[in-house]
Amino acid sequence: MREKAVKFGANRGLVGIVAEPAAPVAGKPAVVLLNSGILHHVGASRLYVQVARRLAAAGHVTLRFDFSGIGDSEPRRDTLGAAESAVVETREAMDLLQARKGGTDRFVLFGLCSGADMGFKAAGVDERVVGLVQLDPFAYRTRGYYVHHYGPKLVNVDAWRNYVSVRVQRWRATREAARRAPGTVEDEPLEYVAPEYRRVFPPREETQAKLQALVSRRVQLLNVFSSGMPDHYNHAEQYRASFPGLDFGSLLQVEFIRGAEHTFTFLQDQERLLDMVEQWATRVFPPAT
Amino acid sequence: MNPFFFGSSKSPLYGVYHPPRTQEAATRAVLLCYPMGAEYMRAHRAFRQLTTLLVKGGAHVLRFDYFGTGDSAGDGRDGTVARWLEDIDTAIEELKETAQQPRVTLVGLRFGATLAALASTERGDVEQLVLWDPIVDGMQYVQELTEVHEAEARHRGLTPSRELLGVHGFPVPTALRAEIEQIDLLTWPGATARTELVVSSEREDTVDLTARLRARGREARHQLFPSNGNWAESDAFGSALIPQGIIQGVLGCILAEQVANS
Repeated sequence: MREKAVKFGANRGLVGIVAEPAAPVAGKPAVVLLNSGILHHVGASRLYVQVARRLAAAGHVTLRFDFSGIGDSEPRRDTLGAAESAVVETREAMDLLQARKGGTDRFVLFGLCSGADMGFKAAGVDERVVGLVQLDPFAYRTRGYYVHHYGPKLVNVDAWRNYVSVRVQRWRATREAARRAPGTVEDEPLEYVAPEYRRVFPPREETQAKLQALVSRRVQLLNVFSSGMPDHYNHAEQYRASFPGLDFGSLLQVEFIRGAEHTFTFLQDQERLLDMVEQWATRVFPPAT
Repeated sequence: MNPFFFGSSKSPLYGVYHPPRTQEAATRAVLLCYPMGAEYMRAHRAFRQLTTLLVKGGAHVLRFDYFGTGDSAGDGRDGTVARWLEDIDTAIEELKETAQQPRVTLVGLRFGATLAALASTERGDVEQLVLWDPIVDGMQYVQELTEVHEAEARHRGLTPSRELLGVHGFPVPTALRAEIEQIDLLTWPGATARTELVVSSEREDTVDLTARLRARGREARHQLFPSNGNWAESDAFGSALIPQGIIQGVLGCILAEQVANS
């Protein structure tokens, strides 16, 4: 595995690291990792570096980079909003890898939280995307959600006793998280302003329609959920159940790492996640024969 | 701005070099030394901000990642203090060559300040040393890291480890902890460089360190810039801390010296 720093994009203002396998493996799509909130391309807990190197060792060219105004990349000189520019820049990242010697036109997009959102948007408009890895993506409550949420508590006297105070605390935490997600800047900078992105889940029908389009294109999907969005997601089967009219077939793999933080803080959770991603990539993108 | 890898080809270090943005001949070359672990992530934007201000003020700046951190080579479990001190030496040489300057200023934050201090001890080419909220007592720092690990493990329903601590998502192995525990800047002999201690809140240990350095005949100054200094805090969604007051203070230390020398 060999790594190289690159500058690219319209004004060469985007900065990233390309990791190349020691020996190219035919048939492996390249992987582009997308910022999570304001965390730079190293990723929370250095997760993106670990994923990029693990997948490069498995034969994928990978690129972890910063959207404009984040991490090492320069702010944009136009007025494009963060959600729109992220899609443009994701496509520029794919252009960069495709134009390299031996470059591929097949890509996997990888992202956590807002990075997942951007990957989902970009996948919808760029047919070069053949795989999408989303960590804590958009999620929707189902009947199963409420069963998992309230079921264990219905028979527990202590749970009832604490019900009111827990609801209040959760409401406060959720309100606080919604205000800050997907990252905060304490003390607003004077010289270097972070792009703003407020995470709002689109209507379920809209997400379903976009997922349907990805399924029609045979895009491989890996969704990994943590326990970091307890007001939105709480069991592995919930994702498929959220979209009852959609037949994912074998294209979707959903994992739920119970107890994991939103940014996969625990070392054991990181290891599980890395293994899941590598095994998924190996299964769905075998070497060309 | 030039992002690049440097040092040994077997385990390259990632750095970003920023040339000065002024027409006048720049005479300052500044190496930024990040803190470790989650504090590195939290400080990244503050260092970017400081860099922007420094290059506007006419300085060359190199910020870089130690072995096993950020984008540099290596597993996070393999980082050692000895290796990181070597990395600072490597980065100093790289910056001197790139900027074509014979001497450098080192700026370190938290444990990065501690490393910068130790790395500068034997060097004659460090003209100024800025220690921003430094870790003075390694033993106490390890104790704090251990407490965070234990609290996180209990919260997750796991038994705290005595070997490999996970602290806000970053590994702190036994060997690294043992090295950190050995560090006590109060016994540090000091550097030939002018030493600026820049702190965000009232602290006895940095005042004491300044007094000891002066008693040893070193040139040292202690300045308080009341600012947010909660670098060790972590947030489930990721967060950045950009305390303008102390950033301006650090900037002032460096650029004032540049004016004085010109």
